[in-house]
Amino acid sequence: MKKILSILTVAVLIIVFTLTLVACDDSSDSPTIVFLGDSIAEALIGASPVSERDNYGYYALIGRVNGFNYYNHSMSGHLTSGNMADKENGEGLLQVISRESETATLIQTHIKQADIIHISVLGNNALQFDLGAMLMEVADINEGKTDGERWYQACFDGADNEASLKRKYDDNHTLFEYLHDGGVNDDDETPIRPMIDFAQDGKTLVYGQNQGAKDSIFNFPNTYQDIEDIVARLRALNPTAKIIFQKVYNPVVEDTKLITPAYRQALANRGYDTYQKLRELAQDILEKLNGMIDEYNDNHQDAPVYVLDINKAFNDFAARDMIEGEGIVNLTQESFARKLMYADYTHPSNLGHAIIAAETQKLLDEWGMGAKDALEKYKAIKCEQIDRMYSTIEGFDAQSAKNAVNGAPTYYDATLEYFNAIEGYTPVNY
Amino acid sequence: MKKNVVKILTIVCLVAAMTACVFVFTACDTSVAVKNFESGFAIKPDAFAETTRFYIDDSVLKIMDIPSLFVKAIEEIAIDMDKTYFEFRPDGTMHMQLTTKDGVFGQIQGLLEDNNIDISAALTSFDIKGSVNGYVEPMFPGFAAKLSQADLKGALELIHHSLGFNLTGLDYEDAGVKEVLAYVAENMALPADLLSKIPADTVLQLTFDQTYGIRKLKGADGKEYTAIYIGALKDNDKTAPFGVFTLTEDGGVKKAMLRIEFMNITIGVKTK
Repeated sequence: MKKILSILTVAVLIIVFTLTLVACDDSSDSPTIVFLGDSIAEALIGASPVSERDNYGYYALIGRVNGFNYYNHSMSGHLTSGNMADKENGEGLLQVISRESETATLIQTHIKQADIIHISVLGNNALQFDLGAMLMEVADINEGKTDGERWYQACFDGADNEASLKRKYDDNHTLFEYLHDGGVNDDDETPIRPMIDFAQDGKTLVYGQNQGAKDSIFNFPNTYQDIEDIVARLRALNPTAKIIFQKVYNPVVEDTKLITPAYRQALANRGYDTYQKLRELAQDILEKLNGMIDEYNDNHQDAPVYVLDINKAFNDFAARDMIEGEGIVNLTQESFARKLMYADYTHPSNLGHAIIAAETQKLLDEWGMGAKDALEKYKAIKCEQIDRMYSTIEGFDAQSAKNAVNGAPTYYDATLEYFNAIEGYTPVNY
Repeated sequence: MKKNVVKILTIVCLVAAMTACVFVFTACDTSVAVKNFESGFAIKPDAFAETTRFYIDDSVLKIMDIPSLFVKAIEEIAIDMDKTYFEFRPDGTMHMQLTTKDGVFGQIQGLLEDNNIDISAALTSFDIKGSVNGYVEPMFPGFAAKLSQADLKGALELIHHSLGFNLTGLDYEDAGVKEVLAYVAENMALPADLLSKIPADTVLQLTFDQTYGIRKLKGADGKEYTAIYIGALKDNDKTAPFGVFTLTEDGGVKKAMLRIEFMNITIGVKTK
């Protein structure tokens, strides 16, 4: 009896002291997630209103609902290396993670301490050349056009150095090979870039040159090698973190600002006369761009990165909204596809960010790292926003909105209930 | 005897266990803990013991790839550097102001005329509509509606309430200013004669008012860093805010550096 009592007492002591150690919600014990990359992850252009960045940005939603330590070191304009303002000497993701010194932002420290590193980059790499031009290029590839038949050869007709330009550009490389392996910047030649634009009359297409454009031969960064170097650098800093690489979504919807009217006309002249057809062409570009992440994993089967297929997630969401009787995805201003995009037609909207957060949550749950009350916390964030930004608006039924959010069985459903409820209302008190 | 020792030991163990139970509930309770909405405990950050003003440090200031001489020239012409500073207060609030020089608008007009520089094409070609619809309106919902009603003051108040930025000094009752705002409201473009409509004695001030907190951080390199965290996340121990100054001290002079990565701007400031 005495022995049993002693054993029980010791057991109680052990349990109690163990509870003491875990009871404190000590930040140092929570997993740490670090977000790196470009403006998609940065969410400055994305959250609407921008002051709601910590309530809409996917980086913050993931961090908050799971109780993680979360740090966002993403930067608008960043490519895999270089940035939109200065491709050659500017800093991109590779340069940022390779910085030798720290400041109080603690980028290197957070990377070293991270359990998860979540990367969104590649989109800006593809935007180093007009999307319209790249669509013309992929149309050429799909139609088997080579040599002098390629769209940009017509841009050099009549140029002073027509022959040399046509020879220089006719090297059997496509834009996508340059995107993969990097382009060539000939400093000793006058910078020039093929370009389609309208003549003064605003109607006649002109296949001409953009004189003075800095890049001479489709000067892309060496995207695939950059991916290799980025992962290698991150693994050198932190050998154990899970690295998530996010695929780029298809931004093409009706009236997209990413394709100029001149390129739209040129493409329509070739039979790509609907936004659905343009979106399919863009998907071909994205397969090549996103395919580099898959290529990395094929080449590193022993240590692959985790792939977050936001391209598929956005396409699947858009496909929920089909044009009745036509069997094609609705890409109009009222469509699901449009609602995923910010006003600039380039970045994800609040809804887009919510979808990315939901997809990441699925991955976390698969790993057993997702918080059990993540959904409840997400709903609480949405209800707080309803109360603060919408409840005082005349005609807005805040209680119904909150009931719908709270009654939703899944993250996706809660997201849809929230955005359906606030649609058409301008937030206040933000 | 043996029985009594066992009894005493048992009682001691039970008391220890009960004490430990209490400890569980208090162990996390530091005197500075503030429970936040979601979970756990946040941090009460430090503040400057007295109001501390930092002025622009040209040796650190970098604005994109603009040569420093050019930046300095703009400062000389247009900015009142004595009335441009960051001020941090003991109550945890901060104030920033960037002030134009007295009479600068008249001077710019004169400079342009003397040198036959015509900026009207640049002004009229600036895409206000595209910028507002694509970026400003989604960032600050309601902005476009107020601008279309020539209510720039109301539009700026949205930004002020949202982020703490404001632009003051414009005389909204001045006839020329009213004319410009009406033009913008109707055309969503800038008038070619914009500069001539702004009263020559206008002194504009860009201000920023927010909360801040000083945090001591430890880097993975073993070094200690002192951060000035700006805004509501300053006391959140699970993340960091967008605006973070690195604070150092050198020979009695406090220096702070803020890097706005997406604009490629480094702001260096120091106490006098």
